Amino acid sequence: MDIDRLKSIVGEDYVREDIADLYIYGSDASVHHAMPQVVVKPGSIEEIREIARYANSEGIAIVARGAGSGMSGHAVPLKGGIVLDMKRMNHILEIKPEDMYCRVEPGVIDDDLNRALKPFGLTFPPSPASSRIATIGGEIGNNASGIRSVKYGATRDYVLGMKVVLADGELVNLGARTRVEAAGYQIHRLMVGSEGTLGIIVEATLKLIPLPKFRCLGVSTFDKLEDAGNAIADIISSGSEPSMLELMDDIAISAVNTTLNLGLPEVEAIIFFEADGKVKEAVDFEIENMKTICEKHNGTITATSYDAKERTKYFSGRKKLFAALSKYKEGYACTSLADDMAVPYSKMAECARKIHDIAEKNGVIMTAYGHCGSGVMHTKILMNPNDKEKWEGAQRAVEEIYNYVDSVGGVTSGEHGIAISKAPAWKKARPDLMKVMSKIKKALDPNNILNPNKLMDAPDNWYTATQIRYDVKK
Amino acid sequence: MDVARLKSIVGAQHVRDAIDELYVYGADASVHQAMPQVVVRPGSIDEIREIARYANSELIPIVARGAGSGMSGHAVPLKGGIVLDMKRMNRIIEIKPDDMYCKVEPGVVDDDLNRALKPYGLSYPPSPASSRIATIGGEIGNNASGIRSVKYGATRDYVLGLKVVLADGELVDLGARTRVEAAGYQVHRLIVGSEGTLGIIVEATLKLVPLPKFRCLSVAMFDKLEDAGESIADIIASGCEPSMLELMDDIAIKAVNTTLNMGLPEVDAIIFFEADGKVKEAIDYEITTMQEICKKHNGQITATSYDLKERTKYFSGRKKLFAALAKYKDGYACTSLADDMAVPYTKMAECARKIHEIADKYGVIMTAYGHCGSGVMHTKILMNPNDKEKWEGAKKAVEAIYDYVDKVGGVTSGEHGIALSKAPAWKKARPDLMKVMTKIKKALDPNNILNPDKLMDAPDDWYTATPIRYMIDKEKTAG
Repeated sequence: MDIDRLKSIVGEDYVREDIADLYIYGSDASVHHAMPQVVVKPGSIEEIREIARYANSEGIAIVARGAGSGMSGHAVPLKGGIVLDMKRMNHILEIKPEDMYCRVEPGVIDDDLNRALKPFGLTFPPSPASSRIATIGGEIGNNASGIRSVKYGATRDYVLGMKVVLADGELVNLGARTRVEAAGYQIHRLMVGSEGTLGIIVEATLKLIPLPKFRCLGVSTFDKLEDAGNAIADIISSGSEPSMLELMDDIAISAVNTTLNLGLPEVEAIIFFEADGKVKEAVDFEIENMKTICEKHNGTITATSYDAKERTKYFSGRKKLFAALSKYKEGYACTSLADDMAVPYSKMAECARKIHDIAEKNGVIMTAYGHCGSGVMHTKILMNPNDKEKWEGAQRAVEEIYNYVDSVGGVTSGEHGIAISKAPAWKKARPDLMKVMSKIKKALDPNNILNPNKLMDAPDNWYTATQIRYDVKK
Repeated sequence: MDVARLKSIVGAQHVRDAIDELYVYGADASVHQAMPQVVVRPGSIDEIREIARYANSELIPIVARGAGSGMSGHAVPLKGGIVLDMKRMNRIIEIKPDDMYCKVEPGVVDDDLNRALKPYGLSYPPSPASSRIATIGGEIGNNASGIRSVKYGATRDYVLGLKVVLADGELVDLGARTRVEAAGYQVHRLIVGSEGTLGIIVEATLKLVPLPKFRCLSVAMFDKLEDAGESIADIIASGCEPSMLELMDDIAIKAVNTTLNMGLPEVDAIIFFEADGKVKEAIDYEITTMQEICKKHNGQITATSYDLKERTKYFSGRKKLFAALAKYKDGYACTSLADDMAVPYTKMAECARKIHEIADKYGVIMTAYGHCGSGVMHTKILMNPNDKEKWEGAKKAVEAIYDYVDKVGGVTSGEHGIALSKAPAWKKARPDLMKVMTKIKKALDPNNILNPDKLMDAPDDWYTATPIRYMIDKEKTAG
């Protein structure tokens, strides 16, 4: 690795190679860890092109990194090489309210973009739960989505165009600025969700939509998880249009009660449902409809409110769930494993129950919650991460859960991507897709320098793929 | 070409090689024509796989064809070979109202699908104007969209998964059945809009949405095209959510008045706007907001209605426009050239005016209408198609229009695809994209058998790319 050359490209201040820095850049929000050789923080497209040309000619790996908030190991540099920290490229280049789009650099943080859009009455809605830190580039690489995807869709639905630096350093301008186009292959949409393996996103043109005037949140508790699941399926099939439809199971409830003292009723399940829009009557109609369905399935409506403060209060249990799960029990860790499968709506309840059964069988604790309105079931495995036996139970649980998901027509990942953690299960489920992906990967990155050994090229066992970033005692 | 082998694969009655049939299959709704060697009508995925294996080993082109309603030459078999008529593959395999998706074969006609969905209160909304005949496979190949794309988006937004037969006959299952997924490259979305050049779509899983309970249509007249354009831009920028927002210019108005006796006021422009939903108050709010904006820009509201019959009546001028344009003047043809560019909303009015100026300059008649809510401007060139001079004027007009569209940040095609007619302008505008496309095309179809010589591989001059399917009288030019 020619560090001097990299320094001459981006400036000495923006190349890091001391062990402490490298260690930090070796992990993301997944369980994995692998050391890069160097961290480079480019400030311009031209610098990125030069870095790519150098890396491509020397066969050095490049892993583009946003906030490092990915949960499956996207940003973990499995083959060392260069981690390209994109956070200096954080300019909002253009907001065009009349044409309903904006252009941004990849390092712009989701919440920062939405703050800048607010004065125009506009929003970029696919934001994941990590929007406080997640960058647009990372969200695109991951095809991220979040709590409002049931109404507003995922990142793939909002990327109109992008500029991409290919493996050989070539800069290409893809897509359009218009709402529709039928003008050549949708390569920009292929880039969405490609996890940094096909090109380095250096600019994105994003579709914007109007901010809603009203939002109303309703909360319903259920004594039986099955009833909650059936209520969700009914809400969707009745033609309701919630802007959010979230589930929390008993373990999730107990977690937020224990760690945050929220005093939620210790029922088997809670559903949070929201509707939004610019006319109150229409929002009322959606909320009333969903309330009626919940009640039909033995739900108790415990709260409904249009007020932002009240909504925040009612929703705080769900909002702070991830943090609460991390503190579920002394010495336990909350690991992102089998954490975001999507299943057909009609399988939601069955899936939640199945997760509990499988967890119990394999001696770990698992919670089922998530964006049920989009079919996404979030889970986490809670366990003592120092105990090797627990990891073995976790491995079995993960495998059993994915076998179930596949058997009901679900997908390995609804939101968090494949990368390393989910690659073994995904490879088993999607041999066809992998073959086509390999052809495309070879065509666009023949030297395999862009985020190598992820997705179809990832190791067959996630547990041994890298070091686990916990101290596992034998 | 081993016709006997093809017959053994699909059955003798499903292979056609009579000259009159080949002629019919040589054209679509574009100006182009080229003869295939044989037409094959497969009835199953396995038959398609066998045909692909044969064609790939013998380097014979395959052009998959739906209804042949494409306007840019997608289904015209430029290099001969096999036209694969997909219309026998027309089964709706599965409708899952609880999970909000359906699975269909590629030959299912759009309107037939929506008819089947209606009893469930569901809809597949990206339907183009040709939905009466267009097939789902063709719509996916083309990334089609239509009058409601402003609210509901294009085909690309509804394809959850696909089964595709690749050039070498391999069958691959892509995408998912769930609403979101982050599970590998979105190859199924790459196939959307690839115009039959990357694989043969043999099954599609489509996202469904609830049918709205109410629809309200309103109509505004404008004495000045610019006022109409500004209203459109204002409606979008104000955060309105129309389910349709359509423009008709004076030539379009005249066409429907002349040929259909519609009696529309002969103004400079008409805007049709619609809102839909399940709560009337919300629809009223949208309609009132849009009416206020139109009035602010000197528009006159001439009609508003929730009633289906009345809406159909008011909209019939726009609905029948394409047919009317074809009969604009005795001996004239309505040609799909420079017919569906998309421009940023703020350029809508300017673009319409520019089209008129360019048409005037080059001695042809052009009309500007379209799905302005999505930024799509539809145009047609009206001319005597037997007159060579008119074609030369049309060529110059097309070039001038696309130069303008590119300059204001628009795209060559919003809905109808590139194929042959739009390839020259598109190639000029998108050299980067072409390079990446070529790499992917080579990776997935190394022998170049799938709809060859389209898009980035299309000829540089659309006019000489194939015989034009009109009798062009060269004597006249000479004289």
